[in-house]
Amino acid sequence: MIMRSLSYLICAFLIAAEGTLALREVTYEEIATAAKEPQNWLTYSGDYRGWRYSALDRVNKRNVKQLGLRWVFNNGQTGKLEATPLVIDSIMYVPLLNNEVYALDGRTGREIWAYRRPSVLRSPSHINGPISRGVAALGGRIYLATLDAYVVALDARTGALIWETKAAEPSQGYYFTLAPLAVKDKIVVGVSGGEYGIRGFIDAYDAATGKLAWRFYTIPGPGEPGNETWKGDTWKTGGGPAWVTGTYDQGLNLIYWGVGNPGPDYYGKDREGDNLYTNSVVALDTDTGKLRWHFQFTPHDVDDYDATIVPVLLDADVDGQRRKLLIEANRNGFYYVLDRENGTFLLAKPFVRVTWAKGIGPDGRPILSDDPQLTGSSRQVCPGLFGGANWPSPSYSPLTGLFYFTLRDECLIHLPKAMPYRVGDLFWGGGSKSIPDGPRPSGAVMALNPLTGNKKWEFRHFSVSWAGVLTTAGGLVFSGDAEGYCMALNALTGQVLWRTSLGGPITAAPITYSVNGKQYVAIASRSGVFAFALP
Amino acid sequence: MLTHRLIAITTVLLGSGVAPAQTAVSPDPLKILLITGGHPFEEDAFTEMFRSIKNVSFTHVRLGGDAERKLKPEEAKTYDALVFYDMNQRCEAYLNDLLALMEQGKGAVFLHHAIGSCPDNAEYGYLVGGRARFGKPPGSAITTAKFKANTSYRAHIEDRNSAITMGMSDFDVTDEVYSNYFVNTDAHVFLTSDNPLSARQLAWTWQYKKSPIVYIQLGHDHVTYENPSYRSLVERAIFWVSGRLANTAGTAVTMPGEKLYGSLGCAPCHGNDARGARGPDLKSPVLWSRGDAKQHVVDVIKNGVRGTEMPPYANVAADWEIRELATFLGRSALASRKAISADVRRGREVYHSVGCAECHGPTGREGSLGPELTSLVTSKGVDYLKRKIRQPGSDTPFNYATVSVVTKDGRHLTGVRRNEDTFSLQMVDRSGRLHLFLKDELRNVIHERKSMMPAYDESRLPPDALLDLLAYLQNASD
Repeated sequence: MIMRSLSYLICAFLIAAEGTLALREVTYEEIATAAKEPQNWLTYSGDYRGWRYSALDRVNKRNVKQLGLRWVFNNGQTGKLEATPLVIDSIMYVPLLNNEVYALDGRTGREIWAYRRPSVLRSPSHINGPISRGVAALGGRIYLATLDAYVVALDARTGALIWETKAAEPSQGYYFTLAPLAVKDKIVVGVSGGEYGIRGFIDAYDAATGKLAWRFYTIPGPGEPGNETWKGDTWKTGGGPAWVTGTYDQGLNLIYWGVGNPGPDYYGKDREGDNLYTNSVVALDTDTGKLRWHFQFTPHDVDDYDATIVPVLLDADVDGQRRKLLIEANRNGFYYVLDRENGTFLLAKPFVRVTWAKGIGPDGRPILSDDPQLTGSSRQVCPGLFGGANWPSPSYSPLTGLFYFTLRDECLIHLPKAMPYRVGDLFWGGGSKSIPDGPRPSGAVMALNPLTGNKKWEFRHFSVSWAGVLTTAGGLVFSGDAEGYCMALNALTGQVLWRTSLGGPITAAPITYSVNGKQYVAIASRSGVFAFALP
Repeated sequence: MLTHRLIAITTVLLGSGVAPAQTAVSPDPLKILLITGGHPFEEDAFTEMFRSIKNVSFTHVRLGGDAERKLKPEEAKTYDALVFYDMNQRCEAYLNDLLALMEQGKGAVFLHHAIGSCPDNAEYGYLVGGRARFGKPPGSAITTAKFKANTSYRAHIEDRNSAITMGMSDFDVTDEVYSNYFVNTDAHVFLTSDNPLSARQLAWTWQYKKSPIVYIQLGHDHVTYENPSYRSLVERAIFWVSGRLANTAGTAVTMPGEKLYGSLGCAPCHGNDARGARGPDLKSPVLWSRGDAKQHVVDVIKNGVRGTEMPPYANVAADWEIRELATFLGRSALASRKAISADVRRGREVYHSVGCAECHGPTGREGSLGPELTSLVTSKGVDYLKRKIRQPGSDTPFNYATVSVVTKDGRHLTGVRRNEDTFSLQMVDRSGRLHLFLKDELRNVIHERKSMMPAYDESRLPPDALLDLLAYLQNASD
């Protein structure tokens, strides 16, 4: 007993001497200026703008080929890991499968604490597996949105549960997979369940107490504008999940969040109309959750073209005028530029094979294609339901002025079929299959000029990758592929400068951080979390 | 003459004790298209048989006359079923239309010499579920079918539970018999003969694409046309392919399980053919060799697999739908283990004489350029192998796709892919040598659409030789 106390004392002393434990309480202002402390990774996309860019340049084009493995963390689980870790003053916070959250020493990968949530194991299993894409940090707490539809606050020092709030009923198809977004004094989350006939929402919770501050339903109820875009009662089960973390503009006090597909996914006859605000980006007042504007990319979708990729915020001169922009490579195969003050449509350009639309009109609405393969009970469409791009995080590099994202080149056959809604059950309205003897699906990391949508380069993956993209001031793009390679590319040319195999598909986005001046690059693959550094 | 026959038929029918077909689903008369040509027959007696069937109206057309036009899908739409009694040597003029009708699920009955139509077209044989070539092209070694007129024998009801034979007893006939014809092993044979002059399989049901098919070997002349048991078979076959005969065990032709596989969204994870992709192989012999395999599969579909992407379908699909789906998967898996009765010793000779050993090793167990075959016949099934032998090149497995490379020093090499990723390629060349390439050492990598496996059509590998070969591989796998 004495010995144990003594060792605690020694530990406490060592930590104090090192002075690096996360006793630091991250403030909202610090997240808003995250670029000032590139040693840390304070929020899902690295900053509120969704850039996933780091000013760290210790690892750069000249020396990246010397990058080597520093540590691997594996908790005994193998499976699809989709998490982006956070790093605060050398401590990494990362959720693995089944909402197990770990605090790790960023230099060694050794576990500091773990949070396990038994109730998650009893919650319904979902088509995407028991994944979590990350946590949020604010004021000495770590926030998690769970598979059993709770929002949870943990003590960043110990992993102890501080509060938990149930957001929705998991047996009705509601659950969370995204990393929450900490903004001001709120924790913002968007719900998953677009395949289960939910009515989607974006919630903000008081970070201190866990009390619901506001809820924005992604599908308007009776009497609200937009409800008329749904037939009868279909708005009640119309989907509209919001399952990827959004972005935030401090000056405009707006949160930008992508809304997913209408339900049932493939069968649209019972829900004629535009089905607002599915497949849209919505701009919400941070304090009230009131809708400021929306832009719908794919009205009345029947191909599961969620608009849930991270919307990236960028200021640039357009026709000689400084504008606040929102850019995204949408799942429907078009790259879009919008004015984020008011949602004005500025540009759309296809970045992949598109057969469902001939183009996008001057009002931003798609001009539907008359391709005969799209009609009838078997709809052969490009891109297929997984989209021309999907949730893997994009990146914008101020160094190159280019926008980077993971592209998917894949067409599919959708088989729409009427189906009744049953509470909590899959509400797909059909199925899908690959095209027999069709071209082999593949993918790429693509670099675009964000103002024109013109391709600068693409780095072709052998198959379709689910990895996100990171850019750094070292002139590098980091990403991964489905065969398990993590690679560094020259951000200007797409040339491969470094690669290593991580022994399992990479379905997560990389981050970078530094401890005592040493820069690390970290990414999850099926076999765990990996961290690399120069010798 | 005609009247006399009619009376005789009526009498026989009344006395035959054969239960009338259950045709009560729809009171509308069935409209059938009767196609003849290319073979002489007693027309009056033959069409009389159709006139005698209640609730059926027929249109008789001849190939070379109106038949080709009537078989256009737009025209054929108005008919509930097709009945073929032709023996047409060239079917190019209408085969594509016929195949299109099969895609739509049009039912068809083939009688007697119709099995000998289109001898040069393999697809036709696949459609009928069997094939015969009467008359040998000069100098050819092809197996030909034989025929023997006026042969008396007893036709044996092989499957008494089939909707077509329900309640029938064995019956005697004097008819022209055939032998040496090919029958698809997946055909459901419901009538057989033990007469040495005749092949054993006399009649079967089968599904081609979406269409229910019946073939009945009997029916050379009026002696058989007037046989009440024969009439009953023909009548029921017509109603059955039109979907008007209650289906019972043993003849289930529509496989709702297959449709459910698509509509429940299984394919994105388990592959279009259920042979596994992101999710596991659902036709795996390992899975289906469990004693409780079906219940296990039903439970997994109902409850999902916790901690994985497999969701529960308990409330998405009805219980019977889940059972149908499991039945479909199990049947497809078990079909692969169906034993072929053919000449194993001859199969071994075929294996070597047509050149299988060059790529698949001296016994089929080795594999090098081509895959190991004896386990493939078990895991993927006989039909898969048949298709691959006849028409290789479609849905080639990942690790047997053809790849060509150009090396930095300008050498061209073609081989089979063992593995590939963004940065590397493993390839076995024609000589069996394994190459481990890094792509940045190569000038070009070309993914060929064609398989390196040559197509063995019937001139290179006659149907009976193919069966012998499959039997050999199956035997070698035991």
